[in-house]
Amino acid sequence: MKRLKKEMTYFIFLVPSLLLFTFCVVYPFLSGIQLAFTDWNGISREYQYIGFDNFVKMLSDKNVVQPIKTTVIYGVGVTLLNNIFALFLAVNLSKKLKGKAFFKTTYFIPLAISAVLASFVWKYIDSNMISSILGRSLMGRRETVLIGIMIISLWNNLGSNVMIYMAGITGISKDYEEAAMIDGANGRQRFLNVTIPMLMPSFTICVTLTLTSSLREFGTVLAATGGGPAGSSQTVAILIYDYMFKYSRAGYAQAISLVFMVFLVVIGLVLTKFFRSKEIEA
Amino acid sequence: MKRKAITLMLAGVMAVSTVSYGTTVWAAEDSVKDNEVSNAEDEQITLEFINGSAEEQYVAWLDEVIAGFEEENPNIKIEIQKTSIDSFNQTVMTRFAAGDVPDLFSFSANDMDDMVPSGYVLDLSASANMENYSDGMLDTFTKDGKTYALPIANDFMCVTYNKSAFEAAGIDKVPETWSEFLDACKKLQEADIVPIASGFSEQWVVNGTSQTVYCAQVLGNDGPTLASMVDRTNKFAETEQWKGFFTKLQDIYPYMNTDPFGTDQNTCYSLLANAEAGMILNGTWTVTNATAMNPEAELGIFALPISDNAEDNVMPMCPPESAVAVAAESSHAEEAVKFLEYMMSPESASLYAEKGAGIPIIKGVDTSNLTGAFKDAADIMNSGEVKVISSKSFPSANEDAFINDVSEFFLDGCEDTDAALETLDTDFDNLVQ
Repeated sequence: MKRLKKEMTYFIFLVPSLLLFTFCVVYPFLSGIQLAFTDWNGISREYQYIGFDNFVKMLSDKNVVQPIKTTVIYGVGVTLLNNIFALFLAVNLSKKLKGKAFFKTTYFIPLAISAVLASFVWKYIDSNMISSILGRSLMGRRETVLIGIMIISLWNNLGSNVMIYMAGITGISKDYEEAAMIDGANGRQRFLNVTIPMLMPSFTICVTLTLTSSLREFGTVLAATGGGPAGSSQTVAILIYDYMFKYSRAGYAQAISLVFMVFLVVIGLVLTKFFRSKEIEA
Repeated sequence: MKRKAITLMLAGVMAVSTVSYGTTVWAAEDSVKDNEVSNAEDEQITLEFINGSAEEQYVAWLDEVIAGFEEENPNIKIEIQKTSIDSFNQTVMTRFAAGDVPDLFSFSANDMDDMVPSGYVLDLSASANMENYSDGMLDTFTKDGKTYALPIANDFMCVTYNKSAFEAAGIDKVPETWSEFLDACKKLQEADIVPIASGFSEQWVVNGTSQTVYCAQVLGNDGPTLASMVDRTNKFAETEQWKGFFTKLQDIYPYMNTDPFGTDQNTCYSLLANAEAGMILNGTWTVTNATAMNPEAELGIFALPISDNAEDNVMPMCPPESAVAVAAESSHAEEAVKFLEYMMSPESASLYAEKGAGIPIIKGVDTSNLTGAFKDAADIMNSGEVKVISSKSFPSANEDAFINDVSEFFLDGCEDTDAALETLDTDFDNLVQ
């Protein structure tokens, strides 16, 4: 009885967030699913149910192919670069270093800047400084536009992963490293065989979150290039936006969103399962 | 006897009180009626106007128009909701879909096919203001004989040039033929001035430059309408005018700034305003934006001379594409129409010209106060050397495909016009399917 009362107290504290979550996330999501099976244009109060037509159309839609390619290249690229740089910085910032607090703050500050503002700043740098060094801007060419956007994303978002990796490194007991040193392991061996395995929980969080968020990338691309030049940086999220608000094909956009969401959930689950399997008990 | 006297007296009192009550009731009823009338006059009505235009001169004009209207109509207040142009459609459409309708809203010709059949836009055909417009100027807002929005001004696609840059390059007159135009570009390049500034990092600029070329080369040159390209009645690869369009792009590409896709349009406005660039091929709004960068800039405009016969090169002009509409579901539709009619009156239009907000298209406007490039525009309009053309805008999905294909053509160095025409046909075919 006492336990039940205690659990009820916990539950009551959850109620406000649960209501908010239901109202703002669950209800719109569930009511939105049905739209994927309609021809709704995004504005009319009437629409027809058209079964799986939207999903069938998607399979033969040439416009979907390029954004999928772009999204995958961008997502994988950002995830790899972000985690490599973040880990590198976290390892170095975890050492005894002069001006450590300054560097930590420096890497963390861009997180406080919105994606739109970051894109505008980098767009200016790209067209005025990078173009005078390289002769051409990165975001003005189809071949290099994704590199330009990746740089913005890295600059803007690196800080959070640096913090997570640093927390992970701080949590590793010095005993393991000392034991490895006594066994004669050099710095590289200690990093690969002690630090990396012990950091697996941090990898689970950082890799999964970075990949799923970069696959959903919208703001940075929209503000930096609008999907151009010639559609070469159009991501799936921008394609969905275009169908929804520009082309008045909300039903179809919703169908793409649903498929995309399932894809993201699967990716997230697979990655989490993979990294969890590599985690070791401390 | 005594009882009889009392009865008579009471009856008299009752009669008097009844009459006096009746009088009181009548007086009270009259008073209520008077109050009702005065309440109706005094009832404060607030009209909500979602405005998508944020240009400084337009806002200054609108503020003055609203002040004038509110002074004449003390019981009506106009509340402006400013919305950025980027999220304008999203905001307006979401509100209509949710049933939370504004009274008035900026309206684009692109929205005719979505919003009018949905019954969201009030029919303005009965408005007295209709006769203030020349033939054809309301075509883009008319469907099945009914007009749904009233415009104040018209932007058109032209060449905006810096007179000082032209002078510095030794160009003594505005080019009147295509050869003269290319010759002017060459002279500007030799004088280390960017001949044509293009900020293609913003996709609308690719479209604007293309529109400047195809309004003259295709729509103003007896070419097919854009609607016939969209419904595939005509094919790009089979249309001489469209072949000419890509050839013209080929001709002008070497005279654009290096790395146009890495340059934004504000940089181009600045180059033009400071005579570091000679020309921009885009809409008449270039003048306002470049002047904002340097108020001293001496700018002018002229029609892109696509022909080598000077007489054929007249300014192509299509009916306006942005206007103001009234929501059919507005609870104050009558007052909203009253304000719209005031806003689009010749007096307001004259003020619009004086503020330098643009080229008004309403009859009876005094344009003598215009200066610089707007004076050029007014002169062109007054001279009648204008060719009314069909709509210059593709529907959104086609427009995006068009921008992508033209961008690819530029990025590939403008080499293969046949391939560009074929790609456009393939993409437009796919959109029909």
